[in-house]
Amino acid sequence: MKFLKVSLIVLLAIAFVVGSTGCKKAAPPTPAVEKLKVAFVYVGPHNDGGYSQAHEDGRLYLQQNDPNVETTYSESIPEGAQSEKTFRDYAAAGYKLIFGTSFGFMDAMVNAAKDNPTVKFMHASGYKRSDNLGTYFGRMEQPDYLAGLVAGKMTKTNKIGFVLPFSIPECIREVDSFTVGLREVNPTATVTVVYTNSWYDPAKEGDAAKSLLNKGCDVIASGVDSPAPLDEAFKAGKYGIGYDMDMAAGMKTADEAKSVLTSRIWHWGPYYLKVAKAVEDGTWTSGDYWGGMADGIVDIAPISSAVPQSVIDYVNTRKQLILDGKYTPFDGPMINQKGETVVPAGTTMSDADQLNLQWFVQGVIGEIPKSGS
Amino acid sequence: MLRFEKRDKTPVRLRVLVPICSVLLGLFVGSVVMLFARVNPLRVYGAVVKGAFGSAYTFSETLVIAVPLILISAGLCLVYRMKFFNIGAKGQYIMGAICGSYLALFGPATMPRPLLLTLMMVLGTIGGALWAIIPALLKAYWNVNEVIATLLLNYIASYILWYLMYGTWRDQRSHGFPLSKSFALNAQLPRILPAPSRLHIGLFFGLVAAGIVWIIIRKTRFGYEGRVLGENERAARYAGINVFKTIIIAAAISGGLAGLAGIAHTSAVLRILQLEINSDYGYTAIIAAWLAGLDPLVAVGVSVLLAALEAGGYQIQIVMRVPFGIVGVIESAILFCLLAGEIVTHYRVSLTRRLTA
Repeated sequence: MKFLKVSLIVLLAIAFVVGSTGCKKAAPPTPAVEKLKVAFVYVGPHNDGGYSQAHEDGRLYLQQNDPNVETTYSESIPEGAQSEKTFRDYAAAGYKLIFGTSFGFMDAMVNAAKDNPTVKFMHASGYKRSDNLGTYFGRMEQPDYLAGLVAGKMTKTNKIGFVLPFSIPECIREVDSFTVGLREVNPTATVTVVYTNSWYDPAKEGDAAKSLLNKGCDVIASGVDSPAPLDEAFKAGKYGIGYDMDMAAGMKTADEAKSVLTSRIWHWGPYYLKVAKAVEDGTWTSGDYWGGMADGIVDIAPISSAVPQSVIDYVNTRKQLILDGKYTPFDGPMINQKGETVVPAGTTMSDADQLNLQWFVQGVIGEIPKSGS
Repeated sequence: MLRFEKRDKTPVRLRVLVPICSVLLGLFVGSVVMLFARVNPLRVYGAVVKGAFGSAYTFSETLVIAVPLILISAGLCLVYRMKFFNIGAKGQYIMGAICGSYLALFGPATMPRPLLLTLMMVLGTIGGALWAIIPALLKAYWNVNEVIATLLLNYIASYILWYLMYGTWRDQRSHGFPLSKSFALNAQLPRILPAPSRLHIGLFFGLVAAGIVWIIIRKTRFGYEGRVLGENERAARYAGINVFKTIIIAAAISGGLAGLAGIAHTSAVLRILQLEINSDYGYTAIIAAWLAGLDPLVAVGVSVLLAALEAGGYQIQIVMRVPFGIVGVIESAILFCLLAGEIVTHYRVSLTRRLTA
């Protein structure tokens, strides 16, 4: 097959010619001041209307408030093999601060950080750290708890559905604190959990919500990245509770916005600005950041007009307690699904236990798959 | 009506001109799509080339992707010549990764590194080979269509990996996330260039495999019998060729190389077993084998080019923020035009007023 050999050579030649002309055009003038190049790697589309978009908002905040940075992002990067290449490519392209915003990027970032010691890596929600790999996350449990209060007051069937991506501690914490709030105001209500085994898969998320609605749930809480579960809840004439962003604001109609009781939301921007400044000053060190509502990194979105004012007032008083550091959803007594008291009254679950949480509280219907090896 | 007439002999000028025009046409079709996406095609093509060959790092990343493609396509060249259409390289790659990883995750920790790595590669090769022998047996004994059998076995392999990752092979410290333990240093195939390059000694496996398969096809009785079998199975039987044996051995070689690609990539590049282990290389390698005209040495070059397109594709997303999907469009446009070009090289195409009876 001689002609294919020839064509290969020709292909290469063309590629190089095209490449060299393209490069000349693309070459930018060298900037006078070296800017800090910051990259963000998202697991979903940057405009997913949820988790990745919340990070994208944070990136834009950073870009607008720090003239010394140059930021970019990669979207829809699958966890695992492909993400490692993206992290390495950014490091090779001169990016000095790289944020990876999904749990499954963890080992890819560990590997990339090891081979690029001069680049600072920041991994959201992970637990593996090194000299140039830090971790950060927010205590979403606090808004989860407040959303649970709203759900407990609004449900008529006393059945809440929770669409959950994975059974990792981050997600278990959300369900547990939500249920604590729910049963504080409605002791007979239950939370049914369905897993999608994916962070971003609107079709699967919608199907999961449908199955929960068919089981009689009348409030659907989302722990996944897209607003699809809320759309299904609205179509069925039920309520939804959003995640990541104020999902009511993204809805097409006022009626649908009203069906979103509230959302548990992220405000990454100020934190990203702080990290970028620390890298610019040379004061950045690896560590773990886990901020709560008092820091402003997590919050609860404005509550829907469908919710009575008395409920909103109650939520606000509880919110104030959290802001004042007088209450956390992990204060005892906490009782597991078998009815055993795991966290006694008067104590609070330690951060370490929260980070490894692998059990559901009483009132949750669902299982955590067993781990092997 | 269009009329196709098989050429006796393809003129030399067509052999050269058609592929060039096909690639140009493919690039042009890709450009049109890019213009709709409001990006400058010349800059995108420039960024792809730069992203694939522009620096020592990017070129080594291109080769990292090329290694599994070279290994898999070499084996496919052999079986496709026998008209055994193995579409199951993806599944064989996964089974190779699983079998080899078993030793990495559960093998004795004290085993010396060279021995452990050798055993891992051997186990991976055997795993891939066994996964390819299943459809070969089905074909040999019951004449089950191998396209369907190998394709469906891909899904079974994927779900075996899922089962293990969500089940007993899951790292307890992964908090329910489908990941194995990280491979210990002993179980990592050595890389051959300093960090951050990930190029590993699997490159030599690939080059050696391509050479050996070329020799098998060209210089051995087995290769000759396989070619006869591919041309005319009945003639092969009359000539006393053991069709069963030939198909099964060839399938085992093809599956074994795919399995070796799987464990080499997992051990050297990923260093962990997870749901996503780049098993789609098993499909890309099919394209590499066909474009190479089933010549394993040409397939080395084609593999590097296809790898360059993929590596460059990652870069354009980073450099120009172009959606990765654009790369898929360019890739398919070029392939489509090359395949269409094949028709023109092998057939004389003419317009006629009506069908001749």
